[in-house]
Amino acid sequence: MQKKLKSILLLDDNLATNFIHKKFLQKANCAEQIIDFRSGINALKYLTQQGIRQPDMIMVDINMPIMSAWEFLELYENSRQITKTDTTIVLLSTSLSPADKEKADNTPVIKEVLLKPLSVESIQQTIDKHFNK
Amino acid sequence: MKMVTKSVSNPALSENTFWIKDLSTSTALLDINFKFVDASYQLKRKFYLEDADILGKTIFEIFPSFSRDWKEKMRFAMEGLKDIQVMVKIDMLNGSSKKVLWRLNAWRNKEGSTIGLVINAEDVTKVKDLERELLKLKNRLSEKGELAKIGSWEFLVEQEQILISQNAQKIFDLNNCSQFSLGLLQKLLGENNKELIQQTLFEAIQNGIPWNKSLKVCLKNGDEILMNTIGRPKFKNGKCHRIVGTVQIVNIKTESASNQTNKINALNASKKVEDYFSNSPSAMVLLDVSNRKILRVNEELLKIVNLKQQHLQFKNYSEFLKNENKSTLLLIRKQLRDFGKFEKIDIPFISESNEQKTLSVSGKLVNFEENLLCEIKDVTEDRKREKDLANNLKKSNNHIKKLVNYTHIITHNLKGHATNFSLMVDLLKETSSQKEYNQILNVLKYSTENLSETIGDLRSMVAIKENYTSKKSSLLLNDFVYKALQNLSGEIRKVDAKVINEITNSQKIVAFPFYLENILTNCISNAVKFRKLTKTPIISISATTTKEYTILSIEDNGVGMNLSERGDKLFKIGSSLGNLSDSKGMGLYLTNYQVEIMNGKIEVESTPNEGSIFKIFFPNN
Repeated sequence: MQKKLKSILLLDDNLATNFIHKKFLQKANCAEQIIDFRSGINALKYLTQQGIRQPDMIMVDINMPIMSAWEFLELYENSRQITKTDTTIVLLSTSLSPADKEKADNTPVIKEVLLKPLSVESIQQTIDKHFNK
Repeated sequence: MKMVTKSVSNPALSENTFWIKDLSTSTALLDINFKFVDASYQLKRKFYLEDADILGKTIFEIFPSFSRDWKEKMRFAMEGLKDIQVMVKIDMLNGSSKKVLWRLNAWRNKEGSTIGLVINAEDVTKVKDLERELLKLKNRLSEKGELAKIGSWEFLVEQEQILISQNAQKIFDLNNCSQFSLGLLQKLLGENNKELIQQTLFEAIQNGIPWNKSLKVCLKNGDEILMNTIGRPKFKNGKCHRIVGTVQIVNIKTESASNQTNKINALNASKKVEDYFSNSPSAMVLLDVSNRKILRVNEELLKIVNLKQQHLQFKNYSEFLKNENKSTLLLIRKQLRDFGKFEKIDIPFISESNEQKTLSVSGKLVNFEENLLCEIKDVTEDRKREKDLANNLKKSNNHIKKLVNYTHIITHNLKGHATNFSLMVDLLKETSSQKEYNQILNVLKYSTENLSETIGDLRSMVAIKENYTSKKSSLLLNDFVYKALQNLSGEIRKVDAKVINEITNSQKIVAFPFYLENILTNCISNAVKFRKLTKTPIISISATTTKEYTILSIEDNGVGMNLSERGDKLFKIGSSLGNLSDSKGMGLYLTNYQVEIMNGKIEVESTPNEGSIFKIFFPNN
């Protein structure tokens, strides 16, 4: 029996992509709550609120204007207001450039890089890999 | 005595012989039994010997060619006969042989008794070689003398006899007559020269005056020749006892004739050079290397530098090289030194009228390296064209790179849209709830609009290509500001933005019309997009003109940005400012692209949460 997560945070600037991914996550029935944002700033605002429960998994699009995934992750990592628990970070990308690949490999907090668009299967596999040990 | 000598084991061995070691000659000490007691380094070096090889051994063992017959001579030496010389050929280890002259002398101790021999070796191989060389040289000299028809002679004053060399005999057609009297000489030289000969000889013998004189002589065969003779008196005990000298035939006719031909040839040649120089289609200048003066210039050069002859001739040429950097001059100097010429090199030249020119100069040393002949070509236009070409090529390459980048992003972007569409259609099929159905439709609508915008951008990119060939012109700026505001009137009204236009109606700007409209629309649209939701958006548009640029400024009170984080990415495709609202990362990329095509630039000032100022620089020419 697959474990159901409490919450997953989705971060992608493209409205349609975010919408579709949210639908797929719901279909995969892997989390009680799915929160989506289209900018890193808004996501950080949410995460730094007092008393909220940190999501079990954050899925972040690598290529976003204004604040890229890298900038977002740096601010996230360095934020004192966020109590880092067991949040699994997954990077989303359409095509990974060699520079991004190297950067992802060298960033320990990134547990996995997934190609967009996600599918119900790829979501389930990821959850299995990181949560059903 | 003999008994005593023998009973003392060996007096030579008890002698102190250190002095011999450092002698500069090849010297050795032998005891009375001809055994080596010591030797100088020089000797050991000469014959490749070491102490261990020789000490205690007899000279006959060391030098087998030192015949035992010489024993007698060595005995004589020991008995006191001085400086006996023995010539011995010694075979060396390396296969060669040396002729060595040995000098033998008695070796006596402090008391004066003979205790052995001092022998000294002198290598005479060299001397022999030199003798041979001397003989060769003598032969060669005589050969040359014959070719040049020079003979030598000697006049013995007391005997009044003349000794002449073989060459001299040939000159006078005297066979096997190496000696003759003064009388015969006078006969040979003829009556005409009698007085001159007497006078010359008198001066030489009495006053020691040497001579170098030419005589016209009629030979036995009737030929009239010009003969040159040199004589030098030699004195002994204050008295001239002989005169030595030479005699040479110089044919008067040939000499003067050939001289004349040479002169005519030289004249013709220099006239030809002259003609070529003045009428040459290339610009030329002749310089004097020693005093750095300009000797000659031709018409073509005057045309190039736009100066009169008198401005250049006999002026110091360094004056015209003032602007030249040292490394170029050093390069020229080096080439001249190594090859006697220098290859084409560009030299800047500023004419009287302050016109900057580039001259390509090459040169060669002529007239025994006294002069430098330079050929000069005006390559100002060529260099300009080359530079323009290189610039255009660079720009084109840049455009290509940008277009490739753009195509890549567009393809990627379109693919993203297509995937999203198909996924949403799938969702649409599956859904049973009306609420979700509507939701999906909304997203689809949004995506469609997004796609249209992307395609619109693609079209304006194509428009950039189409418009690239059209001409830039001076435009009334406000015409275009109004157009842009009209394009954006819907957006501006929607967010209730205030636009303050400070531009005067007479303000002009040089640009491609299509680009100007595009740039203005993009920048104002950006200012609207990145407004602060909590404030009324205020957008002010202004322009200033400097000597070089007309600067268009668009200032907003929007969200601003941290330039240290984003600055370098600002104008890159796919990383534009969007996010708070919708943007596909193309607006600023396009704006920058268009500005760059017009040789302008964009500067951005921004403070997060305060706003941004975009300054667009349009070059005035």
